[in-house]
Amino acid sequence: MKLGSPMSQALVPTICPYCGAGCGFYIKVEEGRATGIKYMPDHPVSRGSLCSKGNAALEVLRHPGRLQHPLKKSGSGFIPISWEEALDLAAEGLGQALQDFGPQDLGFLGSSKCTNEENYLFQKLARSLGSPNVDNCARLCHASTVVGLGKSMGACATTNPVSDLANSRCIFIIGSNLAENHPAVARWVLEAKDAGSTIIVADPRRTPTSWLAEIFLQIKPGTDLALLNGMMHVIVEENLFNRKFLEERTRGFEALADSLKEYTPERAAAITGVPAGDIMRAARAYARSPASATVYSMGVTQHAGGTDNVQALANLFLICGHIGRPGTGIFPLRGQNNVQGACDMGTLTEFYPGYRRPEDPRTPEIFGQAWGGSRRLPGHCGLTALEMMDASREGRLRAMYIMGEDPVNSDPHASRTREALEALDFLVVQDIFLTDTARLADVVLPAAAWAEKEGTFTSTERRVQWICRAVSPPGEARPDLWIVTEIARRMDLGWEQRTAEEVLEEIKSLVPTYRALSREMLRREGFIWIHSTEGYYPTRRKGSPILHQAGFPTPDGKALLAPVHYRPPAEETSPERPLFLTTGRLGAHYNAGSMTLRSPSLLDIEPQLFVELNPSDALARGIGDGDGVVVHTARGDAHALARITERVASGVVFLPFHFPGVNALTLDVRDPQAKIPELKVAACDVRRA
Amino acid sequence: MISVDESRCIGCPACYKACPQGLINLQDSEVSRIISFARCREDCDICIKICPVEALALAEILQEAQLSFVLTACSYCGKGFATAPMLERVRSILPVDLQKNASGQSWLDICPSCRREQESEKAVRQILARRS
Amino acid sequence: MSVFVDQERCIACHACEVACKRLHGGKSNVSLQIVDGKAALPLLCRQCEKPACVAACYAGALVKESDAVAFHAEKCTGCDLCLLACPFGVIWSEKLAYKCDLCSGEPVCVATCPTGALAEDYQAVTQVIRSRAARAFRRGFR
Repeated sequence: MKLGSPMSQALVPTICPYCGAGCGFYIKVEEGRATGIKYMPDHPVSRGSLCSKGNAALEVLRHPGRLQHPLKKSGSGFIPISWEEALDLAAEGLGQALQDFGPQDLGFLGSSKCTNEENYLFQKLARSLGSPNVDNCARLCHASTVVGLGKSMGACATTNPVSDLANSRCIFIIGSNLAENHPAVARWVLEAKDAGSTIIVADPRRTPTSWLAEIFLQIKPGTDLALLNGMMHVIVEENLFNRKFLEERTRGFEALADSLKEYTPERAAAITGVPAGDIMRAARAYARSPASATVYSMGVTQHAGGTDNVQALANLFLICGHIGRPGTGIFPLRGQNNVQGACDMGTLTEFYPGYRRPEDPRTPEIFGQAWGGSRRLPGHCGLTALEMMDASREGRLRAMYIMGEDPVNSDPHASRTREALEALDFLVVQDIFLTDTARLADVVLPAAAWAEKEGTFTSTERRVQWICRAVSPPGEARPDLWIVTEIARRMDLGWEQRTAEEVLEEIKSLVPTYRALSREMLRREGFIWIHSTEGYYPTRRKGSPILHQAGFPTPDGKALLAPVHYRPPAEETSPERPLFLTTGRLGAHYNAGSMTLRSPSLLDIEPQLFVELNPSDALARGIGDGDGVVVHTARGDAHALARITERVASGVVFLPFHFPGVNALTLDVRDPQAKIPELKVAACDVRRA
Repeated sequence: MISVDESRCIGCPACYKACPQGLINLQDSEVSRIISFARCREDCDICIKICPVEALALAEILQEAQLSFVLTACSYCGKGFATAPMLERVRSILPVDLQKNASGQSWLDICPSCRREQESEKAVRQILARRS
Repeated sequence: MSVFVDQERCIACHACEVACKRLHGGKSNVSLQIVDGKAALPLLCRQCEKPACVAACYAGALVKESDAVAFHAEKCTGCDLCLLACPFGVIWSEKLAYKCDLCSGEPVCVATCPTGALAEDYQAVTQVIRSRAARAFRRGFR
């Protein structure tokens, strides 16, 4: 299929733009329009299935709200302008800040929804201009994974293919509601279950994922670490750990074992609210099974102690040796369709493409040489996403370029992000809809949606897949690849317009795990990248894509067991705010809702914000099902409809954060290592409106 | 003019949906249904043919007919969901052994939405029993 | 032919509804029921062997055809008698009645279900259910 030429009638292979499962399907194209979906039964993860969002994916393409023209701020609104003018303005605005204040005063927020090629060019732009301040929304979701697993194992990605879960004899799912948010993964969990495996789920809520569990551990919000240490205490006490694995492949067991002494099942029970007997059952089932898999997500990562939580989880699978073999492994389920890729491409302040450290003197050299030009590339870390907002409020960041992100709705304590963006001298936002963030921009650039461009996405199981252009973007919208290049050209970087395939060639030369990729191969079946202890090498198609089979990518090839201790949530409850607020996702919607809140089929399922309230808490407040209520925190309030349910325990309430205004309530207290905010726990009260 | 045999009319919406000139109106409240027939010029006989019980005929009368029915309340949720004659017609058509569910209740007294709820509750009880 | 449901596998994702709507002009012939936040089940026409809806349809729109219950919209009068006749409440109406039509042989809900909870193959589904029950039985004795 030629680039840029939609056929009159075709089935165009693509990958779903929503979550990190990376399900494939075909878009039916007739006379240049996307008219339907054909399923892809031989896709290795989804087997032809699609969840509600995938089925509704086409609804955003011809949506009347799509940005079709570049816009310039004018008064309290916007006026459409030409691409020439818009790109000149964008380059000027960024260039002015660069000139007056220097590259450290520029901030770049990449898009984990955009392709690898686009993210690669985006961070290249930032760094070529001398700015180390480039980040992506992984900062808000799996930053603690990147740091925590990095410290434990030297690597931070999902280690086994998703389908390998079917080979597990025990699956421990903690802080993940995969049944709602990664439905394709649920298939493999159910296969394991039907083969007799034990499923253990730990979550403050009785989610559809918990329905799959034989052992359900309903922990209090923020107490995951106590549970994990409690489980490990039992495993050590009862000698259920894998001695051989510990000796050959880890360091630090003695210190860890010592630190676990105080986490008796009784103490863990007192902290988590889970009966001690259940903690012991779960620990024994997990350790005794010949192959256990560990699956986790935001419930573990989005805490002020997120890095510690992740290390505790690593300790657990390491002491049992449940890594590096079929049926085992660690599965940090990545949210966005391409957040894994955005991280691989170095759209992170502490990593260049391929996870090279900026402080390593070879890094600026390698990239300086590859990228040409005489500018010296930043050899240090810059500001993370939320730190950029801090800096702007404090006058230390003057201009930002935001690609495909809506921080006004996704950041914790979101009112401060709004302040931060309003304080900037210059803001350029590139998106497919006029999001609340775009409304604050000086210049808005209309981007093409996923089905309107070519490139690669890397899914949560490290599978790089090609997306084919099915239809043209509406109006004057253009692919992000083109837009970023045009801005770079206007900022004297001497770039040429290139196809996604050409950019991929450049990526291959610099990111070892992507070295063997080709568009053809990616179109046919995707490619799971892998690296070994000897260095980075790409696996052959038939090779096993399981990581860490022989060693870990650490200096001595061993993993580090690190004692970590439980700390209570950053915001305690009080008489005014006696309930714990936890936020999370729904199957029908996606993140800040820019796409799903505009999709009629999905709005039919969940049209508006609700708050889950336990019957006893509701009774005490005179709240009935369906009543309008106010959820009140120290940072702000949200109006919602009450949904009385036993899904949440007494003392806990749940808000889905897809609707505007919810993140005005969440807490921006950050993990000191990963800088990820404690989005999962805050203190609140709920009152009748 | 359309004449309605009130002893036959079961209060179904067929004629209301069929009239090409919208001369038949059906208004449901929570507890009742009112079907009214406006003056018609007898251009067609669609409603006459479509009626399941042959309650309609063309006639030289002056009165615009209006019928009202109580909507039988669902024995589960209490909402009015069907006219008594419609339910009676279904009752008389279906074999008696099909009219009661496994617990011996007549599901005909339950509205379709509650029937779905009952079905799923029954299935879920089994699912939950298997889980523990 | 019918669409069968493996009740243990439903994770309440609504994919079946959205896919069905996509192929049926915005109206879904399958309804996902979530019970008490504890389990879920998609409900759709069971293609009954002794269909009550067929008995109630005086217009001949609902008929038994090769092991399923077919609906011929052009004959439907919109009388709603079939809605009242269906014991499971899986016929709906707007102007005319609508219910699962098995998508002309390739049910889209079956293809799209992420966990394989919906299936056409009766044998395969019952096989899974039986072995699951057998395993649970064995476990009960441990």
